[in-house]
Amino acid sequence: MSTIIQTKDLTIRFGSLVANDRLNIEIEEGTIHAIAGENGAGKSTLMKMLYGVYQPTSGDILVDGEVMHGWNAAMARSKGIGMVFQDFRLIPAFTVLENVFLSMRDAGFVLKKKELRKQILTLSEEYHLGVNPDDEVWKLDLGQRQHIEIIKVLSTPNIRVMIFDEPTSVLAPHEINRFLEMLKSFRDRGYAILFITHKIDEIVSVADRITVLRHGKITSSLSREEGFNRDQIIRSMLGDDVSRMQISMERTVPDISGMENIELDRLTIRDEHNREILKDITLSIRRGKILGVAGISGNGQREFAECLFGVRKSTSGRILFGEEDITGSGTGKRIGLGFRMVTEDPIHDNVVGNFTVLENMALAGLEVTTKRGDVDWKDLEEQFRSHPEITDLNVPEVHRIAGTLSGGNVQRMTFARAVVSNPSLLIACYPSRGLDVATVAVVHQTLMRLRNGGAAIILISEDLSELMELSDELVVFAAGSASGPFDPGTADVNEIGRVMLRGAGSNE
Amino acid sequence: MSKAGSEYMDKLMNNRLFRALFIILFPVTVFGILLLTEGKNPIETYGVILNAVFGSRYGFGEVVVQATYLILTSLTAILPYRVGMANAGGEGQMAIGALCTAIAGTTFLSRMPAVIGIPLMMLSGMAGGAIWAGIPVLCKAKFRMNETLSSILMNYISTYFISFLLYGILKDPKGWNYPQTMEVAGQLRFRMLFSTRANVGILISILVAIGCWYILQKTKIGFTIRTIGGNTTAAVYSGINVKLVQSAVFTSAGALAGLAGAILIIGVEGRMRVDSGTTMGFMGFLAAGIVNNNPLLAILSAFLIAGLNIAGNAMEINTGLPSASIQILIMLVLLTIMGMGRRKKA
Repeated sequence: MSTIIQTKDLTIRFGSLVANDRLNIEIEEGTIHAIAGENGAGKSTLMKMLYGVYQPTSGDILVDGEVMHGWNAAMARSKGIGMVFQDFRLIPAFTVLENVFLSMRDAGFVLKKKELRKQILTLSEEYHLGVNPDDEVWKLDLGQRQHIEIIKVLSTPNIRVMIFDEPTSVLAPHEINRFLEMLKSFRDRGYAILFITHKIDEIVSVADRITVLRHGKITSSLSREEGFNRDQIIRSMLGDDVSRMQISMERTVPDISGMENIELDRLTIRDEHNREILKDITLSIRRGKILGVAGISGNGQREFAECLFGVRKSTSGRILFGEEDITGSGTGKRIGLGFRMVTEDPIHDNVVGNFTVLENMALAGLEVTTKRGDVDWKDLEEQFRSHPEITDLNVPEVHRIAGTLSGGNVQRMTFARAVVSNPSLLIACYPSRGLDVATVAVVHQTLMRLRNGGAAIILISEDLSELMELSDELVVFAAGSASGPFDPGTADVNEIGRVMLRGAGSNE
Repeated sequence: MSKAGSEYMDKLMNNRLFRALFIILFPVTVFGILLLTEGKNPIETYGVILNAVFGSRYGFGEVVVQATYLILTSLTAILPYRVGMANAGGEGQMAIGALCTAIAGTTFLSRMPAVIGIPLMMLSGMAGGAIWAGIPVLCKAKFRMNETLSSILMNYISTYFISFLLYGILKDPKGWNYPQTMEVAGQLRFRMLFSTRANVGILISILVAIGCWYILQKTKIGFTIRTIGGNTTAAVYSGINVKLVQSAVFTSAGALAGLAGAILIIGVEGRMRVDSGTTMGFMGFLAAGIVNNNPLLAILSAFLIAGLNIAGNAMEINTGLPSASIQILIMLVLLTIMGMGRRKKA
C-alpha cells in the first residue's frame, strides 16, 4: 500500500489558539482512516487543511512524497483529493445533474447532459446510491443529498482520497449501516477514505486506522492490526478527564406528591405547510419520569415540542397542567409554570450570539433580580458561580461571547440554563446530536438527576439506544400518530424500529 | 513581498489616526477632482463650505437646527432596528407630528401659557408620530404586512394627506392663500438662542439620544430589546412577548419622529407648511445607518449630515454649482465611513 498524503509537523494557529499542533499523519490508499476526538479537538481544521481550505502556519504537506508549496483547494483537487462537507453545498432549486455539473470546473461551456447523466447513473448503480439525476434537490432528504455530494466527489477526475466531515451526523439510524458499507466498498476499490466521527462504534466497525486528536495534538494512532478497542479510544479522546465518564445513572423513585402532571388530550398539530403532522395525541407526561419520543425525524417531533412549549398553536385538543387548561397560553406563561426547552438547534433557537454567557443564562434560566431598573448582573454572576449544576456541567466562563463557543459548550450552557431553575417539565430535543462522548454523558446524567428530582422529562431522540437506556416510557411518532407507550425494559428494539418505519398502523 | 505588502496595508488600515485621516481626505480629494472637471477651484469651494458652516453664527445655528431633527429621526430608525424591524417611515411620522403640533398650538392650546402649552404641543406631536407608526404595526399584526414597505408607503400618504388639509380646512384665512396653517401664538414658541434659529430643541434631542442609549444598555427593558435584536427566536423561547415589544418599540420610535416635528413647529417654523421638515426623515435613516445604529454616535452623524446639507445650500448660492452636487460629497463621505466601518470588523 502506498502513501498518498503525508504531513510533517503540520501546525495551524488562529490567533493564540493552536488548533493543530505538529501533526504527523499518513493517508494510504485502500484504507479507511478515522479521525476521532472531542468537540473542538481540531478534527475539522485538520480536514480543511488537507483539502487546502486553510493554509498551515508551519509544517509541510507531502503528496506522493513531494512537498506542496502554496497549497490550496484547487491543487488538492488536481492531486485527486475530494471532500464531502458536513454542511452540503447544494442548490435546492437545481436538479442533481445541474448540481454535479456546477462542481466541475473544467466542464466546458456547453452542458454535456447526456454524458454526465450516464456517469451519474453508473456511479449510482455501482455504489447503490439510488440517485436520480433529474430529481430536484429540495425534494430529497439529507441522506440522499449526501449521496449527491459523494457523486460530486467521485466524478472528479483521478480522485483517490475522499475526506468526510462527520458524515453520519445527518443520517437516520437505518441509513448509517448502509453508509458504512459504502465506505468499505470505496476502500475495496482502492480509495483512501478519511473520516471524522464522534461515534466510537462506527470507528471500531469500519476503520483500518484510527487517529485520535486531543487539544490539537495526536494522542494515539493505531491500525487495526495493532488493535484498538472502545475503552482505549475513549481514554485517548478524553485524556485525564476520563473520570468524567464515571457518572451516576441511578434511577430513584422521586417523591412527586403535590406536583402537577401534564395531560395531552386529543391534541392535533399542523406543520408549516398546514398539514396535520400529528393527530389526536393523548398522552400523560408524568413527574419523575422520562418520556422518550422515538421516530425518524420529521414525524412531528419538532412541532410537538414547540406546541408543548407554547411556541406553536395546536389546531384542536387540550393541554392540562394539573387541573389547569393551558392550551391557549403563551411561552411566557409556561415558563412561569416551570416549562423549559432545549431545542434541536440551540445555537439558532436558544442563544443570542453577541451576548455573553452570563447574559444568555439570564434568558429563562438564572433568576433575574433587578437593581435600579437594570438586571442585577453582579447578583446573577454570584448565582452563576455558586450554582452546583452550573459547576457540574462545566459551563464556560461568564464573560465569553456565546457566538464563539463550540457546539458542545453551547449545549452545556443551554442545558445548565434549563436546569438551574428546577423545571417542572424539560423538553430535550436531540440532546446528544453532534456532541462528543463526554458531553453526551454529562447531558444524560443531568437528565437523570432532574428526573430523580421530580421533573417530567420529554426526551426526543433518533438514537434508540439512548432512548432505551434513559426512558421510563417510550412513544413512537410515525405517520401522524403516537404509538405506545412502550416499556423500554421489555420492549423489543426491532419491534420499535418497525413501528418507526411503518407507523402506528402496523401496531394496531 | 506581496504578502508583506498586504500585511502592511492591514496594519495601516487598523491605525486609528490613519483611518480618521482617510475618512476625511478620501471624499474631499475625490470631490475636489470632480470640482476641477467642472472648472471650479476646489480650494475656493471648500472655503465656501467651511465658511457656510463655521464662518457665521447663522450658518452654524442652521447646522444645529437640522441636527436637532436628524438626531431624533435617526433614533426613529435605530430603535426598531434593535428589535429586528426596519422603520423607513420617519419622514411621514415627523410630518404628521408637526401637523398635529401645529393644529394643537393653533386651536385648543392657543391661549395656554408656555409651561402647559409647549409640553402639551410636544405630546401632541409625539402622539401624531406614534399613530402614524402604529398603522404599519397594526397592518403587520393583523395582515402580516411587511412594516418596512408599509411605513415607506405611509410617507406618501402623509404628504397627500397634509396637502389635502393645508389646501382645505386648515388653510390660514389670513395667509394670502398659501397652503399653510395659522401661526402658533408667540408664547408657545421656543426662544431663539445666540441670535440664530437654534433653540432648546437641540438639548432635548441630545438628552433623548442619551436616554435611548441608557435604556438600551442599562435597563432590564433594554436587555429585553437587545435579546430580541440579537436573536428573535431565542427571545421567543425565553418567554418574551416579542410581538408586543416590537410593536411598542416601533410605535415609540414614531413618537420620537413626531417629537422632531413638534420641535420643528415650536422652534423654527411656527406653522405647518407643505414642505416643512422634508428629507429630515430619510436623512435620519442614513444617519442611523452610518453609525451602525448606535444612539450615541448618531448625535455625531446627525451633525455631520446637517453640516454637509447646510454647506450644499451655501455652495449653490456662492459658486453657482447646483445644490444637488453636495449630495455627491455627502454620499462620498457616507460610503467612505461605511466602507471603513466594515474594515474594522474584518
